[in-house]
Amino acid sequence: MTAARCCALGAAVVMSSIGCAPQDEAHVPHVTVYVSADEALARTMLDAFTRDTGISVRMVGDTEAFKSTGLANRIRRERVRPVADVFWSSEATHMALLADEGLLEPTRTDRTTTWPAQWRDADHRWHGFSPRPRVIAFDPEVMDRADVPIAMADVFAPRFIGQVAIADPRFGTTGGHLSAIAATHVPASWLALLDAMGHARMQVLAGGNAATVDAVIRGDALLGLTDYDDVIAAQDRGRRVDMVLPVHEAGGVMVTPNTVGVLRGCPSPDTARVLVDWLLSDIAAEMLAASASRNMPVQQSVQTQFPELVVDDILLVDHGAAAAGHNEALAAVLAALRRQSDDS
Amino acid sequence: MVAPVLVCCGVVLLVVCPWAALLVHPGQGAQDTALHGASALIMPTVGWAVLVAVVATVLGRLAAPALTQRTSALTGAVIAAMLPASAVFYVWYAMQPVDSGRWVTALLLWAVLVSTHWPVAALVLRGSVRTAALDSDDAARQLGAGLLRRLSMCAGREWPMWLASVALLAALSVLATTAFDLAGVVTAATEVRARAALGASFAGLIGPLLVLSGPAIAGAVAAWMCLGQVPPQGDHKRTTPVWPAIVLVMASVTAPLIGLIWITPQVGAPTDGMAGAIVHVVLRGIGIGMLVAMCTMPMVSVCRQLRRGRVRWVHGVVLVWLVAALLPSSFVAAGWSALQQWLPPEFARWGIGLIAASLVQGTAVAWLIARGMVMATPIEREDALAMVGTRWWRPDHAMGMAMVAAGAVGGVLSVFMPAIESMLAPPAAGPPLVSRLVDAMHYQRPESVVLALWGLLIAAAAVAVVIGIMRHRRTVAPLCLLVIMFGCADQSDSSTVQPLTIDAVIGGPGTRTGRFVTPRAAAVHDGVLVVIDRTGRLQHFEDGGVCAVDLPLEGRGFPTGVHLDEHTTAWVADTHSGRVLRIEHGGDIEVFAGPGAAAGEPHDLGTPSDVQPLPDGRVLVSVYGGDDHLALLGADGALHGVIGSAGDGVGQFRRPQALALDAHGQVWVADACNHRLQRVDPETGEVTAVLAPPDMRYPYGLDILPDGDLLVSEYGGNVLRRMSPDGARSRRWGGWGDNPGQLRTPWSVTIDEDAGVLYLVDAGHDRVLRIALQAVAW
Repeated sequence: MTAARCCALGAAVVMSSIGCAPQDEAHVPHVTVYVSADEALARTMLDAFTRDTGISVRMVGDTEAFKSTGLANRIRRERVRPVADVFWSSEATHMALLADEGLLEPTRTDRTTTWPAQWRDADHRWHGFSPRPRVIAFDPEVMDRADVPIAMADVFAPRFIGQVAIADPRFGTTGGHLSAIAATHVPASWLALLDAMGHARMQVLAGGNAATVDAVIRGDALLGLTDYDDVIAAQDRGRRVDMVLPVHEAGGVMVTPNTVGVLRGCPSPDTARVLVDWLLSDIAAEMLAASASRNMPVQQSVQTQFPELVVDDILLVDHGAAAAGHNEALAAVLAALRRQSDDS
Repeated sequence: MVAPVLVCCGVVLLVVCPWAALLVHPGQGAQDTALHGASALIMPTVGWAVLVAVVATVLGRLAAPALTQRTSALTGAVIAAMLPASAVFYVWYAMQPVDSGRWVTALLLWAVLVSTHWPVAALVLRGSVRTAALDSDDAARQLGAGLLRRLSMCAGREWPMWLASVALLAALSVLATTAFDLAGVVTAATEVRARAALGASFAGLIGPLLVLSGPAIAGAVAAWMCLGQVPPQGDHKRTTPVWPAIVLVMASVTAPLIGLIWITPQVGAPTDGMAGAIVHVVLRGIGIGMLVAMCTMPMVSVCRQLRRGRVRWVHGVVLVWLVAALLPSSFVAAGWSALQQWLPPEFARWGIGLIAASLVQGTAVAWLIARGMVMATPIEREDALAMVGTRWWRPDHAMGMAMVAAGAVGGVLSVFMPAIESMLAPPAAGPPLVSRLVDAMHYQRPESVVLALWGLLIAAAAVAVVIGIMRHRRTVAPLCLLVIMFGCADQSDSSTVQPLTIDAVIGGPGTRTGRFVTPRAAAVHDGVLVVIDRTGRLQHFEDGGVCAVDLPLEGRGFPTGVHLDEHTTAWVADTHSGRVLRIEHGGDIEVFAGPGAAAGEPHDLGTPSDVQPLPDGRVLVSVYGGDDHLALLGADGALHGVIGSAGDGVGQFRRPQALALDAHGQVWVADACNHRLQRVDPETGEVTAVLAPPDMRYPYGLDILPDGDLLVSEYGGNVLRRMSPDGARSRRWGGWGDNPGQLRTPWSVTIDEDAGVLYLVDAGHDRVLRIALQAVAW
């Protein structure tokens, strides 16, 4: 094989890569979105958006293990020249952190004016929608429902030492949940909870909330702190698992909203706002409620269609305040978990 | 000196720059990102590494002799080496009984890691089991040495290679982070990946990196130095047992294959469209493999110079390269992710960082293959090649084989790199394959994993077979061209039709007012658009909003044709009820013709597809269903005459689907199943023109532009076509697909001259498109 052929092949490879790269058709409207929601669900939603609006969508997801955290860090790295237009996160903490860092731009929409204040940023830099509750998963053939703790504080009780599984708190909704607890509890309660966590010898799993449910199903843990949709997904696969909605000391059930925001300086702000508006629409809420994720609709008009998904007693969380204290809360949790590793 | 300079450029580009970017990247410190301290990671990391490496090396040594004698054994070993450990582990994990316990999971993980790493050991140890070893072994036999004595002699002879194998496998085995995640085992590599995802700085990563650097450096040095030994040569040939290799290949490849076959019927079909992602990633792997193959050329040249004691400083460069490859890919990805901050955004959009990060491991393998190939070539041949003036850019046979092997292995290695994909994948229509695969594993969606595994198995087998047939170099170029054509054809718009430029999209899927379920008939007049879909509604769209009228259907089907007259009265071809309805703008419905008609003779119209009122008050109705014709009705709905008959001759029709009246009082007919248009004089019934472009497919919709040109929507061709009345000019837009401007089974088209727009019913997308007339200009 001569050098000429090699060079020709090399040039062909480069050309093929160029040809195979996404074609940026200037005349076709498009939007780039970073998505940390379940990618199968997100693709379905975004395909529907494209059919409705004619705007093509390019998406970037992340693996279940790292989800919103990984994408939020990617957005930070690209802050000088954003690649994405929209960030659709499966939780609120990292979205609020990005807002505080000045990486999101305000996007006003009429859709959320009647919604409770906790579903949006005060400066309209992000909006929450279609939340799902945090739950405690258990195996109904191993534990009676009556024995499953309802209060969050009881999850880390001595009788469950070594039997509680959680996802890595550095990522996703678990981290957001713990930040919300820190933000809504009085300091003494929070410290007591940390102390209990430090002795609970919890199983911290790297595979995300889905791995937590799997641990309960396989009998590796009695209880799993996870998301509602992960338990539903397991039940849909015929797995033996059930759940309770834990109540927090500050009152109510923790629900984690999907959140969406437009990145400051993004390449396509107009189409980005169209996507944001669409995700906050009744159509999107219906799709999410009817999907395998069974997200709770915020819109009252949609709640009437899916009453079984509505959680009445919701823990009121100021996601901005939770985000502001997130790093400190996380450091405390990590210290507690490292302490339990040292003890064991 | 060109080759060494190129090598330096390579290490700077692929390794040094990303590391430097990570060094200066602010990031988060260890306190904010560390769940597991470095000291807590040492035992599990080293323990797993040693457990896997030692056993895999022993098994690899047993199989190595067969790899020197049998191409089939070599092929099987290569396939086993290329299977991603995480995916293979998942197959067993999915079959593991639910309550079997953590120890079973751990055992499965260990077995899978050994099964995917013994081939590496066998390939490393191949060089030390050549004929000279047999010479020594036979001599020992003749002297009466027992088995233990011969084994100890073997160990004494081969211990450097054994050590190299253990060191290399120790570094490699802990890099299967996804498998460790699934099994719930934490190692330094999983911790590096987690911290990198958190945006940790170099300082935040240094703890677990230090744990991994030991095996990485040891593996790199051992592999490089031991491959640099000239293997003993000899003439003695004795057939050694191949059963160890057969057993190992069966356990590593056949057993998971059987498991895959067993669970495939149980998991059902995946619904998340992974097939396209599999094709894309395989083609990307082939492209990266070709780049690795090209990089092998200067590497072989450098290795030849090193053998002669020249450019010794390159040893250090290569070791840095190898160490980088033996560190977690998430570390590499973090470096490139930090580097991209200073590069134009096109680098991220085009996935250049992804390709570069994927090249690190592949090119490291290329170094080892190049080194091994050079040292295995007799020095006399090397001298002969130098005498004839061989240049590094003119590969000889041996270099060519090294290129192919390196390219094949490097390409496959680049396929399954979750950390690199998740951090560097460019925006695309859908998530990349490996991210989907990892999610499917974590979300317990085995159907998706199974499909991807089949794809990867077939790809691995194809590459292994290609390595065998690559002895025939002439097959390389055509194969590569095929791949390139395939790749580009898959990604770029394969249609030659220009997409439509859409003004607005009306409707969308749904049953609420304003949305559609397979809309088919549409008409517009004076700014009022009416659309009929398969829910049996006629919906009016105008400035004031939209309202819907439920049609009094008999449950036999839904109308496919509608026309709005100057009073905005809708004339509806009630297709499966055999009648024509007239609906006033206020919503009053009257049966104009057919069963239940208020006036005229109640006759069955057959299957009316469209209706066109004529200036003189008569109404022309197209009818299909066997007795295909045009029915001419009077103003009272009575049948006045029939034009045409069923068939494919001139004046005959097969499914006349749409009618349009031109400025000369002639009626154009979309003769759908004859793939043509016919112009009919309603007075005489004479056909005055036939237009049958060879690429026309099932014209279902038809309307006339102000200048007399025809607009035709083709249900089968998925295009909107403009034609001159004489057929001399024709142009198409749209094409099949889901991208903006593409169509799925378009049905009707209707023109609003005053507004300068047309409405096209894109039935397969449950929507109506508003398009400016300028967008369909010549």
